[in-house]
Amino acid sequence: MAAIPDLSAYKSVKRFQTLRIAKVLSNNAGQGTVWHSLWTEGHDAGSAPGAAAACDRNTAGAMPLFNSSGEQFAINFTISAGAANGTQFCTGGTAMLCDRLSHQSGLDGTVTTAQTTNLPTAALGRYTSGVGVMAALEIYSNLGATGRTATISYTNETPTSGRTSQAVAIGGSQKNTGTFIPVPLQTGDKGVTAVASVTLSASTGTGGNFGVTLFRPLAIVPIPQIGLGFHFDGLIGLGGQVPKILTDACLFWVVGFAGLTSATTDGFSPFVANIRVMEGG
Amino acid sequence: MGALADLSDVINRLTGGNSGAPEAIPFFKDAAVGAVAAVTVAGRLSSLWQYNGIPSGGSAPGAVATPDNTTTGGLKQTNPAGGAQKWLMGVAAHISQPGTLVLYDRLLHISGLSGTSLVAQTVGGTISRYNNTNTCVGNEIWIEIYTQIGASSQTITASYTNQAGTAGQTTQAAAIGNTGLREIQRIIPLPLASGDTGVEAVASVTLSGSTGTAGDFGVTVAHPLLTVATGIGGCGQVRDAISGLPSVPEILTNACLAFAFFAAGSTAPQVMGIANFIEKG
Repeated sequence: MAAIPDLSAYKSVKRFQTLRIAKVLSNNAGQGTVWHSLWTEGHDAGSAPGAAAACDRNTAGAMPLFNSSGEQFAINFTISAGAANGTQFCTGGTAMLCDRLSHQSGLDGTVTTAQTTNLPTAALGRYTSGVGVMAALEIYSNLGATGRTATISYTNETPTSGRTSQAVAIGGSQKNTGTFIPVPLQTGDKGVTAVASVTLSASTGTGGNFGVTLFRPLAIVPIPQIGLGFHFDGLIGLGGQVPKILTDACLFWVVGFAGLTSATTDGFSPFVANIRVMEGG
Repeated sequence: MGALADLSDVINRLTGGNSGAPEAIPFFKDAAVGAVAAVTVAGRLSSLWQYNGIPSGGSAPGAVATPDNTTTGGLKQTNPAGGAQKWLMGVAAHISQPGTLVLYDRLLHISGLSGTSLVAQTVGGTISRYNNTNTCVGNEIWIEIYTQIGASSQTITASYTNQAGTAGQTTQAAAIGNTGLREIQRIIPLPLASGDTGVEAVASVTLSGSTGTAGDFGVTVAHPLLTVATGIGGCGQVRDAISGLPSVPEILTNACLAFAFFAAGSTAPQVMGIANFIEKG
């Protein structure tokens, strides 16, 4: 293991790569949306996964990452979020960098029995203990306008199977393509290693397409103002957020909006992110 | 044990050097307790202890207890290695509603107290952290409501031992009951007696009169550590303890790290965040 030895090495950044991604949002975030996944947003878009699959740096949609013989750490973040279509529909937000570990899709917003299509999720290749691994319901094609709730049956970090999450809202204001819904765990749990099924309380009215994504949040970066660019250093200013980027990490962004003012809006667009990833040692 | 020397020491430990044991804990709090949507009150403090989340939410404690880093509801961070100290570098969070997120060490808690009992209701227990003259400064006594109490406005006081070890001190009377001060998850801080700065123990609490409904409330002894404020809901915020003052708070062995929220409105927050820690022996 090779850490960054000191501040001089940190500042000199002798061995690094810059990861860049630019996303033009086309999926309406929708008023009421809290989190919006950029996974299927262009450019460099990923897609609805279909069958359960583990994700890595080669998965279409991942930020372009080269592995290193040493350990790598994300040290700087430069973010800009433009005004959608030249008109501001939100004031700011949050950009959350995540490692996408495992995903599937093909779940139906009208099915009320326990859905196992393309489940269980593929085995974790990183963060295999499950501690700090979260599950989210990710929408790939609009669900219905009737708000319902969903629970997941999952295996926790122990690992103990057959755990049932708390219910989360889905459909209604949480129906649009790109909506990303983190799922709170059963009392006592602190992570997820696999998801076996998803159950809706009732039909949302439209089948659409949604799935389960297992992910690990790595960094939370503010977007203080739409239309401007911001640079943040992980050591000074981001509260020590210098996340280790594991070998083969599938890096992607999930964004949250502040002050969404319209029922049909992209929130902000484009979203441009640069991450400087530095090798330790 | 030694203090963190400089930024070189911090960046080295954040990236795993020198037995820094960096720990980045992602956390999520949904705006619900079980199947019930949570509600906040503008200008009042709300407990996120029971909020659904990752790690999962906690529950009403029942008999007096001293929560620790294994207690469900806390962040469940690892303890520092023998002889080492653990330090919080910062917290970054997306908070969906305007207000202030408070991270605290939950030192002692009890529930099962009645909103209609007029006798001194016993608290007791033994605080195991921040529990002597030098360290208990900053400990606060909070009334925490687990089942709604009554609509009759009353006041409440606590009998406690202060930072000088003087027992039988009485807090100033705080309003309890009626709208804004009776709802579940409401926290009512009790101002200490004039001249006091800390709490070593809480003996009992006494209502001035019946609120009209027994409900269920309790007492929490809390040691606030750090705050993250947002004026715009949904705009990511960072409390950087490395470059800001006061500087990095120590996280004591067995600390039960939990959250409260000082709300600007009546819509409960959803919180997604990351807390970053390092150790030094």
